[in-house]
Amino acid sequence: MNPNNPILVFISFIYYVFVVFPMSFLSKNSEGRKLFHFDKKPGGSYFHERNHSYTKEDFEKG
Amino acid sequence: MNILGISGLYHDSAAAITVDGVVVAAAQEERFTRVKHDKRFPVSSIEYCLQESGLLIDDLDAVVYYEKPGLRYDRYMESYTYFAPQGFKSFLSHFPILFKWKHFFKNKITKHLKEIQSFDESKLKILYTEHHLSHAAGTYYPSQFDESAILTIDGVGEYASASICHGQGNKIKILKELRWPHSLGILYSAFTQFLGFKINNGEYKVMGLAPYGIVDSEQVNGFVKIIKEKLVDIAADGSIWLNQDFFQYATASGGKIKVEKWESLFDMPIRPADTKLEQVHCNMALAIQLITEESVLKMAAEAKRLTNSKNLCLSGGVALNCVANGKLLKTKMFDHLFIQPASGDAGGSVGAALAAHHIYFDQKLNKESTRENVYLGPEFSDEDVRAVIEKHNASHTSFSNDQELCDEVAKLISEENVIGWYQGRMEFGPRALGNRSILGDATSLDMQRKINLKIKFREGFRPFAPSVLQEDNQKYFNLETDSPYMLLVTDVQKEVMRPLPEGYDQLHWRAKLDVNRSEIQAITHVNFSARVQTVTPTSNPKYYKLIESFKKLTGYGLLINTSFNVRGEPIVCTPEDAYNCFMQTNMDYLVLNNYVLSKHKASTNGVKLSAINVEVPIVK
Repeated sequence: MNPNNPILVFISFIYYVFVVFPMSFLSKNSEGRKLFHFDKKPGGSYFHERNHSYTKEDFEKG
Repeated sequence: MNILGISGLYHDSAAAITVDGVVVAAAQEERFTRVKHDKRFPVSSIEYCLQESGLLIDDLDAVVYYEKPGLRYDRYMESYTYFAPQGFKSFLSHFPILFKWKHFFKNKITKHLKEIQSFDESKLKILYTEHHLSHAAGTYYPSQFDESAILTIDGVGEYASASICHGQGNKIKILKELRWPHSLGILYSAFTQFLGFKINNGEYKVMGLAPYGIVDSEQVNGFVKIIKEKLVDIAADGSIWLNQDFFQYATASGGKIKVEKWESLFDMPIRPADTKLEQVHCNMALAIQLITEESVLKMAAEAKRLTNSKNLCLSGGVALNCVANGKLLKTKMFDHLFIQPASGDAGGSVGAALAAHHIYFDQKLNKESTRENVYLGPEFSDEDVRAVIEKHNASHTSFSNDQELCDEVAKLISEENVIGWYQGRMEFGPRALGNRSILGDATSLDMQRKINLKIKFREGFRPFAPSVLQEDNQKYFNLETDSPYMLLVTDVQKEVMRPLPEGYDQLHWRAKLDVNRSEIQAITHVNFSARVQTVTPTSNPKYYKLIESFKKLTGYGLLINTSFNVRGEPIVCTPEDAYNCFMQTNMDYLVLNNYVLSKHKASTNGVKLSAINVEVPIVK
């Protein structure tokens, strides 16, 4: 796939303008945002708890 | 149970095959394509692994990709959304590829496998592991531990950039992870960029440059202070936070850093590639090395606290930071430390296959079957070697047995010749461990300069590492454990150090390089450290024999060992690659299996290859 293909670039442009960019305003308080840990937490930890034992199911979805 | 593990498509693509949990073949794509860090789908590596294991694709129980492309897509999209409009241009080129990988990745794997051979698609089982599970499995299962803390640290996988896991029996439990965009690996790469080296390639150069920094100097301490105040916060458990105001990697917008902001922060310009290195660059390298060590040691302490294990397995690109590994070992926090020799993403192929074998197929941990073996790449026969000699009509001598060969080569090394040493199966991972190596005399005063400038064509500051007989390890190095994969840096023993001139610590980095500081000068870095490989008769019999022969001649049971390549090229794979590298450099001799090739009919320094050997004339 050539990422510089003009049709693909145009589709990406449309998607960015009508989906990604508006979402950046609409999702300010979403869970996904918390991923980024924007603020320093002096004295805290930046690790996320997982406590998950891997099983067969963890291999099936890509 | 036959499993093919695949890693790559971002950098360092590779493939590995396990048969009943034993890694029987593994190789990095770059070695075949000769494109350094090749990121393309590893077709050649897969072909090699299938050939070596004698399997067809139809014989595979599963093909496992080392990460989850769908999650990676999600992470990219969240980053683009958060940072909009930053990353707009990058989005336009990345989105189509990411979208295709999220929704059609299985097709991509199938399509490439079909390029290799036809197979029954309906039978092919394609699995995916989390990126950091690949790293964790790749170090835990070969470690020989029944139970261990596992610490993986790299740039980033899907979301995680570091993880603390606990391995018990054949199971792995992830306890904590550090998530994007906060990443110790990326922080190190950011400084790699600022210091004028290539990202994902020059990190080890920064590590090699750091010892030239002046410890406790005002400038180094100043850099550490700025980094901690403005760029990174290191928590007590080693997890870090990166100030995104100074970075632009989150949206893949060209390079890792906002250059103007960094220049203003450090009050110095970014170093353009291949320009003169100044003391300030060394001091900055030392500062980021200290920050990295602090975070790694604290993360390891957190892993200890969470698991209370006596063992630690390390992996991920940051585990190739041998200096941090050496310091971790010295803390004695853990009784045993195992580091995956292919800790970078290439090793993810091995980890993915082993994870599927033990977890998905629920196979028991078999210590013997999972014993780590680093010589997993292709081997070439004497017939292959003779074909190369014949093709180039090369002047050569052959030896009928290994001992005679080793005695002769040891003699050549003792006379300050530089040898290309090419034997047996190629190593898997970034280190040459005696099968694709350039060798020299570690006691020679001029050898570091000679190999750097005339043979490897690389920067003069780069240090060389020693291969030492295991039994002589502590004679030269302050290292209480074995280091078979050259992944630990330690100090040379005081007994081999030379008296230093007054004010040595304050000397300019280039002046330090010229000081005669050790009996084993060529492998003693300017701060008296060395990245050691210990060799045993079982780990690499022929290489052990060679070092032993060298010891009989000179009294020194160690050699310089550097990878068999020149700057910018992958390590050689075939005898033809080795011959080409030999001819393009000022290497003195090339040893292909038991054939010694010389550029000089009789050597330039009067050495004549022994008459007891059998000359095999090959006429074109």
